[in-house]
Amino acid sequence: MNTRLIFTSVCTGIFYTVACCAEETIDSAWKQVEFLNLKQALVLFRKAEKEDGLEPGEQVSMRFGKALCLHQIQPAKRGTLEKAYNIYSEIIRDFPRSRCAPRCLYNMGRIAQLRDFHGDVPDFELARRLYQRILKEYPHKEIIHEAALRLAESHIETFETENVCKGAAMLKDWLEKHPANLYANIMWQYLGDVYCQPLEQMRDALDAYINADRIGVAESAKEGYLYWKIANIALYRLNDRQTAIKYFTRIVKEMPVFIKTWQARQELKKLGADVPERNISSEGLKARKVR
Amino acid sequence: MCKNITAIAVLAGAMFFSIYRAVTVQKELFDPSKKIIRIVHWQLETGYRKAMDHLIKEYEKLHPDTRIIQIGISEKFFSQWLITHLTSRTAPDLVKMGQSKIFWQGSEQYIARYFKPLTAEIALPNPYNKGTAFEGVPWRETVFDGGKGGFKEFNQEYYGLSLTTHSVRIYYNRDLFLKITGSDRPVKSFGELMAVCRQIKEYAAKNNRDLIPIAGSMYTYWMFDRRYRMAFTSRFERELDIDLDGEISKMETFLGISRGSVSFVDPTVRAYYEYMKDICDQFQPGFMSVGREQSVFMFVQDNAAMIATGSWDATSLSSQAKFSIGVFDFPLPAKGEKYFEHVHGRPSDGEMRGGSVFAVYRFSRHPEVCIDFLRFITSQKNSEKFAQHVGWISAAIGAEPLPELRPFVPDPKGYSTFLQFAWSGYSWQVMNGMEWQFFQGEIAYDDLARKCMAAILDPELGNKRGWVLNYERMRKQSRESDRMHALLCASRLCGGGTGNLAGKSKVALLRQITRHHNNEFSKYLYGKTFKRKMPEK
Repeated sequence: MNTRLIFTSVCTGIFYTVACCAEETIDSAWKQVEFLNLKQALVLFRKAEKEDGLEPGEQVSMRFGKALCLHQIQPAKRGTLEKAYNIYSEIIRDFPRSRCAPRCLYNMGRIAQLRDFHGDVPDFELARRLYQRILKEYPHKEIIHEAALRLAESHIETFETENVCKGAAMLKDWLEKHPANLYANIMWQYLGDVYCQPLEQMRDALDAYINADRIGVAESAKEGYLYWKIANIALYRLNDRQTAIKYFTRIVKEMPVFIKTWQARQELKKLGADVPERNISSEGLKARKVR
Repeated sequence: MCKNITAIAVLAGAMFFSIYRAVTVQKELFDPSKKIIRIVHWQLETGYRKAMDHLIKEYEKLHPDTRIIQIGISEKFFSQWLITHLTSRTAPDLVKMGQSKIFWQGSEQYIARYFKPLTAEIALPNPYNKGTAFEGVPWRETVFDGGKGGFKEFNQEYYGLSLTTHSVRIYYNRDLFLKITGSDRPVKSFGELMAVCRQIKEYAAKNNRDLIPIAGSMYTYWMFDRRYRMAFTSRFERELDIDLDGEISKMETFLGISRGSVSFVDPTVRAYYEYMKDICDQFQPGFMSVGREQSVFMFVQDNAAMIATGSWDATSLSSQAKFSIGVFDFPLPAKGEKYFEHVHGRPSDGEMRGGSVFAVYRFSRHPEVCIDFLRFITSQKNSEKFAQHVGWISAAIGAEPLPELRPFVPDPKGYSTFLQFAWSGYSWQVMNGMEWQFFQGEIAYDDLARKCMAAILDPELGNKRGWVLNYERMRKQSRESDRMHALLCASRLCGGGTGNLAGKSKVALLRQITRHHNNEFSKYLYGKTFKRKMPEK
């Protein structure tokens, strides 16, 4: 009895030591991912893989991490990408309800969609099927908005007019159904870019950019470039003086150190509008919202 | 016996002194009652270390529990020294960014691995700006470049803020100006500049003196070129900037050439080159083979009346020259002067980025002290004091420079873009060679124009090839953004991660999708312009 108790205790101890070691190895591997040191991260994920008795959560984390490293390690090669694709597939097959499963589908879509090495040919049809699976199988996850964005992108990036229009319509439709989604500002900004080039539908482009601004620009250091674009489209492509004045004024008031601020002032003078004084006080700068 | 006692006494003295030093240094470096941080840089020139010491003492007075040790390492060894200490986890707490390949593009993993991003911190107000116009203003907005100096594109993070900045102007010998022209006031226009140069040449010939108007070199030539290229060719922005990003890219310039909107026969382009030829005629013959040091030597030795260089040279020029030095901005033609109708406007200094950015070592034992010290030194008052001590320009908005450096304060008024003709190795090489020959008077403008256009339009090696290579380069950058996005999303899911990963991953997604779209559009435009698919490289 005592021997059995001792033996059980020792085995449990070893199990927990191994599990803790594996958990620490996986944590260290993710730390290396944060440091962009994917080669070292892969070594650690492979080390953790050799441990027995990993919990399902650790299994998923380890396999996902390994697939991610193979996917993103440079230089990209056909062999490593195929391995990554297969591991992502296995995670979806073995752990379909895990938190990583939708991201695995998404990453498989990216492997299909992007050209990773010389000779690699994007497979847009496969990418679209994978993104559509996310929309169908994980309808309540936040990732569906990214999947919708990529689905639209897979049409737009062919630059075939019919496909571009289809992609733009898909994106607009998604925004109408999900106006407050987490990626709405990115979607509007992208839509604006698409309407600008190649569609050259400037009124739609202007509306899309203004919608992006209304929600809040994703890159807080880059509003100036968006406002500049809006103001120039309004003035020089659509003859919309009011919108042009509004956005040139915003550049002058909210971005005193932006490289185009002086030019914005000149444009306001040409338009006969009031030109705000250069304002480096806290009131002027606090007017900018950081979203 | 007497000698033995003396020797023993000397040895004993040396031993006790060593023990004393070891104990005091030990106490200095490892005093457990103080938070000790070390700050390292390579600026060994006069003034910098003293100015930094002064700030350190002020900070230590406010925070008696802190000790800051400044370490200066020579430029030559800085990179090796830093890499060694980073890999052995013994790096100083604050490291000046630069002078090492780990800060170059392509080495981003080292920055991510060893330095702490400060993006969240610089979005908050700097408490050391209390009582100034910047009270309550985000820290990032208090420097003239908006934080660009410490910003890293690859992961959208800020690693620090600029302490100082520089700009380029023309220095002149006031004593010589007074002697030759009867006035020592700065030149205000191109016409005035040419008149002064003429007088200088006449004076030199009459007095058989080895004296030229402007000390030229490869280094100084590019300063004139950049400023005046903006002044003349920024007028094409409205017509050529098709994506409305405020810049005429190389692709947009080449599209303009392909469509016939711009060429070397354009009167503005021709005027720019002839203007530059007039400037280069004031340099010494053979200036393109002269290095920076030689041109500076010519100026301080009274053999050149003017030189174009940066504010970083202000202190050393005034200490070496035995004459009074003045400064003026690159002059433009005034109304009625030659070239006036071709100049669009003044070039902006706004594209300049600040320097002297200090990054926080990721494994510092006192990161909060490091960040607080950075806030302290970049506050408007302290940044101004520091820059005045060193004889540089502060990066803080509204900071007052020394009176003699006022002309160097970056002036954001003006235009910021210009035509970029060369877009392949071949076209750049041909253009460079032709420009030098033209500026030296060896070929006429029409020859320059014809050969440059031929190189640009060369079907195999010209800008078309540059377009293809650029597409490939941008595709890799876009792929890099996708990589960052994937890693950030994965860290959110599994890695625990630090900082605002959701926000960062959104920014990475936006960057990737925008870059990818613009790049694929450039491929589409290539096909549309040349009626054939872009070849794969």
